Amino acid sequence: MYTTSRERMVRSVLLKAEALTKNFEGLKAVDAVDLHINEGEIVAIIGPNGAGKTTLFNLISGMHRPTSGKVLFQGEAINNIKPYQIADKGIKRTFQTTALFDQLRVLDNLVIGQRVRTKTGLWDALFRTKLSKREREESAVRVLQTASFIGLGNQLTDFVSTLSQEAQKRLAIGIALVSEPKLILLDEPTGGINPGETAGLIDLIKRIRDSGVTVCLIEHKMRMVMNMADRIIVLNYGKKIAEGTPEEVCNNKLVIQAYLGGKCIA
Amino acid sequence: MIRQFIQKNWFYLLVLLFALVFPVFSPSRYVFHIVIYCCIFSIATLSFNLILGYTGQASLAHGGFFGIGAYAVALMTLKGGLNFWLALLLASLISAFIGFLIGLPTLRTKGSYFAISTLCFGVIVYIVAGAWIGFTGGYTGLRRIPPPTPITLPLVGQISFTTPTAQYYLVLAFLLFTLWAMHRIVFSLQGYSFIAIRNNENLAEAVGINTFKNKLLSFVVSNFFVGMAGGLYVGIMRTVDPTTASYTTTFNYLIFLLIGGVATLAGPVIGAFGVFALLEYLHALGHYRMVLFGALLVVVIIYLPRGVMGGLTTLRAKVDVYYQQRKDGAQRAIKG
Amino acid sequence: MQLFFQQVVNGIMSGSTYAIVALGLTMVYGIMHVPNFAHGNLFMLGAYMTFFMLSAYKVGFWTALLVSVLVLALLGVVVERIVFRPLRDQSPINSFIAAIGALLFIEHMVAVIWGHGSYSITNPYPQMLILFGVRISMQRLIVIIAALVFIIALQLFIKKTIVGTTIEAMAQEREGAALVGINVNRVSALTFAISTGLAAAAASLWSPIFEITPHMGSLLITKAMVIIILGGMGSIQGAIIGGYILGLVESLGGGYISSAYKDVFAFGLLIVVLAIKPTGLFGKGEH
Repeated sequence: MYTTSRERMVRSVLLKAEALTKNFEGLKAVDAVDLHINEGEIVAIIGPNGAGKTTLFNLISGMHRPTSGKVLFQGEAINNIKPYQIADKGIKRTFQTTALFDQLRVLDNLVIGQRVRTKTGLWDALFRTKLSKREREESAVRVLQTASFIGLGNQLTDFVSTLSQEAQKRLAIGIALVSEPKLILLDEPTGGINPGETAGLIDLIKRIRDSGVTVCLIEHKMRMVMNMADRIIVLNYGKKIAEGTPEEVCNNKLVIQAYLGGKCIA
Repeated sequence: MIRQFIQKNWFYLLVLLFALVFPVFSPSRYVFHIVIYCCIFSIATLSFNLILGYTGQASLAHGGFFGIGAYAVALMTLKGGLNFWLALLLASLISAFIGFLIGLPTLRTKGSYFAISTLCFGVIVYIVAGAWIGFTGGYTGLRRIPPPTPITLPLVGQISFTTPTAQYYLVLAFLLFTLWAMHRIVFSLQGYSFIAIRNNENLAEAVGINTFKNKLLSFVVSNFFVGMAGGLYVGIMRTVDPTTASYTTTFNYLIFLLIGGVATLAGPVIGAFGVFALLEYLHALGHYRMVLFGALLVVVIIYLPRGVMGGLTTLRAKVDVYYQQRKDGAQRAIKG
Repeated sequence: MQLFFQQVVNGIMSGSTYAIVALGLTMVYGIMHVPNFAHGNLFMLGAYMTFFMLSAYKVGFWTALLVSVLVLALLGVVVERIVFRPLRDQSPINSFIAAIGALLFIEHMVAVIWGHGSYSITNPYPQMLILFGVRISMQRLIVIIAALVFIIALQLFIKKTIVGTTIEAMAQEREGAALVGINVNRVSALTFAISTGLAAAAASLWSPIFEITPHMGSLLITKAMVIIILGGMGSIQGAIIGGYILGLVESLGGGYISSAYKDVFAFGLLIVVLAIKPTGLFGKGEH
């Protein structure tokens, strides 16, 4: 699963962060971070608690404005636009505390996730225009495909509150996937899930990458990250302290000092 | 297809049938009047449901926009001599447009701020209506507002809207129109956007929904319909004064909506009919009624936040589960 | 020039009342994160309680005021317990609506018991004073002085006593406060008691100057809401300063521009400010 250098060179850069910085009243949550994510990769961002990983995601997805620096997606600067516009451009994300439309059912959640790809408005709704009918069908198809991809095909009419923790995590990923994004940001996708159940999620993430969606994830579970990621970026105190393949990162002294505190479990 | 439709919706069709032949039962003038106003309030409550029940934004200016619609029709027909139907359309559009102007600054704020700023706008409408004596007649308001302009229908001849029967069918028609529009909106992809915003506004934004634009849309449409309700109100009532636009009006619609049930289409209608009828029935109790309703509002929001309709849905779900368990138990007994 | 000072003094007086009401409201917002819409009617009830004690039991003014403060403080605790506590972990809209229910309940209960119309409380200090060429009644002066006393006492309470700092801690971080062992229920109850008690005191001092009606709370609460949004919800300083500013703006505006539209200033100002800065003048955003 590690790519050869030649293959890596040929892939284009999907996302690029240049000197990205976020200050919160004197605290530098993210400090001049440069990174890039190539198409088709699984990139993992690791680091101790408070290293700035989630803030980094917030900056990329538009929830925070950077204090300075740039974020470029497919060559276009996206650091000054709203979250919904970034989702429209093809970057979707999940949240550390599983965010779902918890009053609704699985299928409703997926429909809403796909809404960004539809144009139906008030007029279409009132007069049942061809557009509204066509988009309903397209939505239904996408929702069914995604539901079966994430393994919730039989639970479409279940309410979110009846789903297990792990199923909810899968649904959150599904909401991000259903609109066919180019890049998906997963913030601790296996957080709070017991080791027995993480295998399913890991498999899902790999299938996501295989289907052509680039994945960037924040994770704490080292073994999982080592086995899955093409590249790892390590943050500490808001700064990037290392970057490379899992083996390279494992052997990096700074990383060991800051985070692993011992031998790397590869 | 038609058969399926009837099977699924037989209850609502029955209600519709009853509503259509209601005047045949020769109700008293008093009952007729109650029902007519209930229909108007249902329209106002249904539109309140769109912004509050489905989109989750607590607009407390609803009474104010009802008043704007009422005053607009009153002024256009009384002082401007305009045809009622044109005035009604214009009044609804004016209400929607003012909603647009007010929504622009206020919808960028969240939650409580939006509620308070809309409440303030409602109060502004009330005060302006009372203070602009030359234009709006001040605190005594306007009287002798002309009834809806008579229309001529083929076969039936000319209909003037001064009899209860004619007025009833008028408001019923607009209520059905409102129900049709609301149904189309909430059961569409556009409706999904609204519901997403209500359930989790931040997530809705993160998944690509332009929450500001959608909130504004919901607000404008909601104000269009409540302005229309206000215009109808004035055509029947024939007088208007600032209390029509007061926060009391807003709170009334809030009570109807919450007791009837938010985020359903039947709820607002049930709430408007049920609560208003109850209010009238308890007329002799005077201020005690509002004491009761204040307490009822607190009880409902704590113990029955989905109102009567919500309670019924939960009840039905529980009944379904009970019967399912009995069936399962029976099947197991047979197998074992 | 005479008119100007007169209006300024009137403005400070009404500002004092606004400040006390807004300050109680913002204190409760700090711990509940919901604006208590019923606060204005608790103020009104405080006035009626004083009136009741004066007319039914013929006690002295200050005794009546004291009884009113105690009764209202107790009532504040009751309201917190039965109306707001059950809704603590739910969406703020629900608490909002519950507050409206409580508002209606109190307003119409008062109307049932005492009727729709207005009452006058005999002014215990009707003497007129002349200060710096301005005529001011003793009662108005008492309102101004009392407000300053309350404000200073409250600031000292919050900063210097253990209970006070607990309230501030809870306002800043409710979940964290529970974790470090602060009894959230008790602090909530106490904050309500203080907020309502202060409102009752302000109402009792204010009511001999104006008439009391069951509906006097509604306009007041709406203005108090404007004040705490502009001053920053949860900020005590903001509420106090905002209260005085509103008092002055209304008084001067009413005197020089138009008295019929006096009440509109506050509301128009709010919409304009929110249009420019959606989180309020000093706010950092709210829940």
